[in-house]
Amino acid sequence: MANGQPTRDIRAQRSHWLAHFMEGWSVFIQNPLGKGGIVLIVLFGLMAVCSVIPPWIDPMYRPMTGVDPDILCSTSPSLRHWLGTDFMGRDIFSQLLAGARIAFMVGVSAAFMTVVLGTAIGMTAGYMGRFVDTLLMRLADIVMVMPTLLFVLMLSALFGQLNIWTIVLIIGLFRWPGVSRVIRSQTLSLKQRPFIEAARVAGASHLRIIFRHIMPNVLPLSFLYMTFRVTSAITIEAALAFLGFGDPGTVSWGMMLQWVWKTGHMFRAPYWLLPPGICISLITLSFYMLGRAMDEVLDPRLRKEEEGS
Amino acid sequence: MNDQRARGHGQPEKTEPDVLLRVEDLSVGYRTRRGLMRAVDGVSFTLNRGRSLGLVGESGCGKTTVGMTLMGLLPPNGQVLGGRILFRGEDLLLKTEEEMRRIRWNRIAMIFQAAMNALNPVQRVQAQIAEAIRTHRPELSEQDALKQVEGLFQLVNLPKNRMRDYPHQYSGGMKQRAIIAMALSCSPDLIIADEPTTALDVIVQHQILEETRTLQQDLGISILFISHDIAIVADVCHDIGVMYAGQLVEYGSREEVFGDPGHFYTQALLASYPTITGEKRDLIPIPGETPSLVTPPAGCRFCDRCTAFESECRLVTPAWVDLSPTHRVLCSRCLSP
Amino acid sequence: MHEDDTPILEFEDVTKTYRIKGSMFGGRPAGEVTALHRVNLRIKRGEVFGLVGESGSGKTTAGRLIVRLETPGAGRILLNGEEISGLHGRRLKRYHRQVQMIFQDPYQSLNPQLSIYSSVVEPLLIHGISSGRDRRERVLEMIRTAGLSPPETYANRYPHQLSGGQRQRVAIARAMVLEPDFVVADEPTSMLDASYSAQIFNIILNVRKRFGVTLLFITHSLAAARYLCDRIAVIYRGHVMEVGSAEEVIHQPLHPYTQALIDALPKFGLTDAMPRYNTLLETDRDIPDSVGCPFFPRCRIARRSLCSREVPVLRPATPGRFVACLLVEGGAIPGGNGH
Repeated sequence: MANGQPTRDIRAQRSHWLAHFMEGWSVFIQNPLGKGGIVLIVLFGLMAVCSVIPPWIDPMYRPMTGVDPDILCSTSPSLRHWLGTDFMGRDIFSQLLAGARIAFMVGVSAAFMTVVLGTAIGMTAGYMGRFVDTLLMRLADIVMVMPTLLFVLMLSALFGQLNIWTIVLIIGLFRWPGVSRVIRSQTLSLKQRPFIEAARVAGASHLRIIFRHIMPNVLPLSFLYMTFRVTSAITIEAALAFLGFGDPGTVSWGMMLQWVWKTGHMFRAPYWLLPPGICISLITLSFYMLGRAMDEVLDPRLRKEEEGS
Repeated sequence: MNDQRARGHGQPEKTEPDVLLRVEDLSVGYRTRRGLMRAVDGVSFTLNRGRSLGLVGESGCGKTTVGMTLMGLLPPNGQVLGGRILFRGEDLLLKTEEEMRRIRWNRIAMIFQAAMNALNPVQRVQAQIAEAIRTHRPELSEQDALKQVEGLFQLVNLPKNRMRDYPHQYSGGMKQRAIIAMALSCSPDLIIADEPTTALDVIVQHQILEETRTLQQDLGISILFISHDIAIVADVCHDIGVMYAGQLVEYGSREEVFGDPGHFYTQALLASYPTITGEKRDLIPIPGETPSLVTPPAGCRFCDRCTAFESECRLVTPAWVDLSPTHRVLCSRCLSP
Repeated sequence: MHEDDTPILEFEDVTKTYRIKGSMFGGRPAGEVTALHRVNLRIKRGEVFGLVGESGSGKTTAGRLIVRLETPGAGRILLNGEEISGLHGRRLKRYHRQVQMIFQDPYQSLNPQLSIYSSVVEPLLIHGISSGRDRRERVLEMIRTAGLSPPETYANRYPHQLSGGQRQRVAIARAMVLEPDFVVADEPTSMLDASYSAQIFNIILNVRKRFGVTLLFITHSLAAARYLCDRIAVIYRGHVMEVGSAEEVIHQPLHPYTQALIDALPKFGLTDAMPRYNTLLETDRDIPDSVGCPFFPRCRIARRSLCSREVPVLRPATPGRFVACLLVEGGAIPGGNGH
């Protein structure tokens, strides 16, 4: 065989992944939910990225610390401040952009942690079965019934104001049972499939079977659940911030709502109240739409055989 | 225009009362993401009263689609592209859904693939068959319907003392017999059986096919057998139709098709089948795969896999050739005797 | 050729029972199902041995026991004289290198997330055989031997892009890539269209000729067994009923069950070509079937006094031929030669 063969084949293999991805993408984008979800998320993504621009233009646009020296109170939208200013004279629009950045950070990190933990535990329980399975699932039951919000409130009551990353950690640690259940049942059904038996007959060790055969078949489901977890993470963080238990050093949408309320501007400044509220709702909606559209893509029934079977 | 219409096969128009079903130039397609898939293309055949026809071909050749079209049960993305289905002289394709509903079961019954799984697990078998009877003949009382069920059980060799059982208490063969009983319950003229014996053991399969053949002869019912396995229809059907890639490629009596197969696909099929009888010979597999039905090749669809392939096969639309008044072949290269 | 007489694989009085949980909806009482009952087999090196039976006969269980997916409840299975049920760890792994399996369902036996290349190379990776370019060559060569040419094109594809027949060929390549001594082919064509069986059969024969591997061919079709196998064992409800060379078993069946199987085969219109043995009752006798010969409820020529009480044992009828029937004595065929 010629020397060039291996590289050419690797390239062919990569391009197959691309073809695979493009195929999934075309299905996804044809779904109206998918289109909507992607558009919204891209919008928020742009917001997050652009959050660095206003402070760069003028230091008064810094979301946390930048005050407009001429305006030291809450004002309605103007040319200088597209969404107006808050009670300290800080620009609301830049706060909104920064909030988008925080929302992504929190949402994705917490969801990632939840899913990694849930997948690992679910796969282990499903594959090992019997005692380990029972143990892990009982643990999941216990964790599942514990109210996340309440726990965080208790923690912050004990230790004072919590850091944003602590909050992310707690959300991640408390939400894995749901994911693990789904992954476990998927693992159970996979365990019986002939290709797993074929791996055993080939002499594969348990570890190899879990990582090489079960995990790749379970990951798409994990990713799907990750999109749902993102929404719940963002909502929890927003709720915490609104209730005053968030990280006071970060500008999140929930924090913005808290400031509106605490400074008594709830009914006086709709330009301040509405934007973060709408953003929270919309970003939650967008990830949900994404998840539903991905459902169709990841459904194995879509994997049709090509003509000629 | 091409020469594929049924009347070209040279058979004189038989006296109409004998012909139960005449399919003329039927074409059916499915709308898929890749385009229109022509699952059935210009299929014509006749089925007389009291005769059985076996429609044989690989998965995807269109045989199940033919069966479903006859019953008017195409899925939403399927559409009839042309042709006629004359059942007792009337074109079924022109009927409304209401009219078809009256014909289904009363005149044409269908046994689907894996039909035995369609039995309701929480209803006694006799109740299910009785229900089928009373749906189409509401004037019957429950008593009368059960009496009919008794008669049916006898007909299909099911013991009467099992009438009150539930489906899970039946073996596979018994369930299949119950399904046949249900199909016979309204005394149809035609039964369409689609892979009726998959998932059954060899011996039970043979028993049921034999019983079906006896029933068919005794009751004078016409049966259309659809199967991918030529062996199943081999001993049971009077006539055989071989389908390939959406087209009917050979049609004739059982003796003619097996004894003197005309089309190269039929020959290849028979040569690739292991048999018990005769000398042990090499099995010759059919190379290649079936062509795409979204863009079917012009000319003969089998030519890529045909042993007697010549360049003209790819370009010329094959025509029907009569090997005998009852035996025809769709091929440019077959010679008439 | 006495050195070739040492069997490569032996079943010694192997019994396997399963416990089934009762089910409220299924109306099934909890109990035991005997999948294999005191099965004795000796498979010679290099031969293709057919295990013919219908569903519930235990033939698939026998295959699974050989590849150690399960272990027998009683009895021993020996590969080259060594018992396999006790193997663990590294010795078990070495066993897997010698004994492989082609699974029945081509639509489920390949990991849908792995490319064809990845699926076939996996056994080599597990056992650390060869590396780099050599390994790649070996895989591609095996894919080509299995009838998929050019192998490079197929290697990069994924299972859902292949037809059932092609997938089964990949399964053959995967089973053979380790060049095992013994391969179990579990009904390799039952999920494919009848017209594709011939391809798979020929590939299997090809592989046997090329690598000298011993094959256990599990099937429900006597016709397929005749084509592929040197010797055949007929199994019914966990009992081996008849063993002999393929031609002999098919043309001179001794056991009424074998005769019934032959009666059930399609004749393709040539009704006079084979004798009809007629050993099957139209409706089964209604007796509890846990005593006596398992075939008794359906056997036309059975004698109640004998067959419903004693379990037949596999005994030699003529040299090389074994039958488990209480009515057969030294080669005599019950019921005559068929009419």
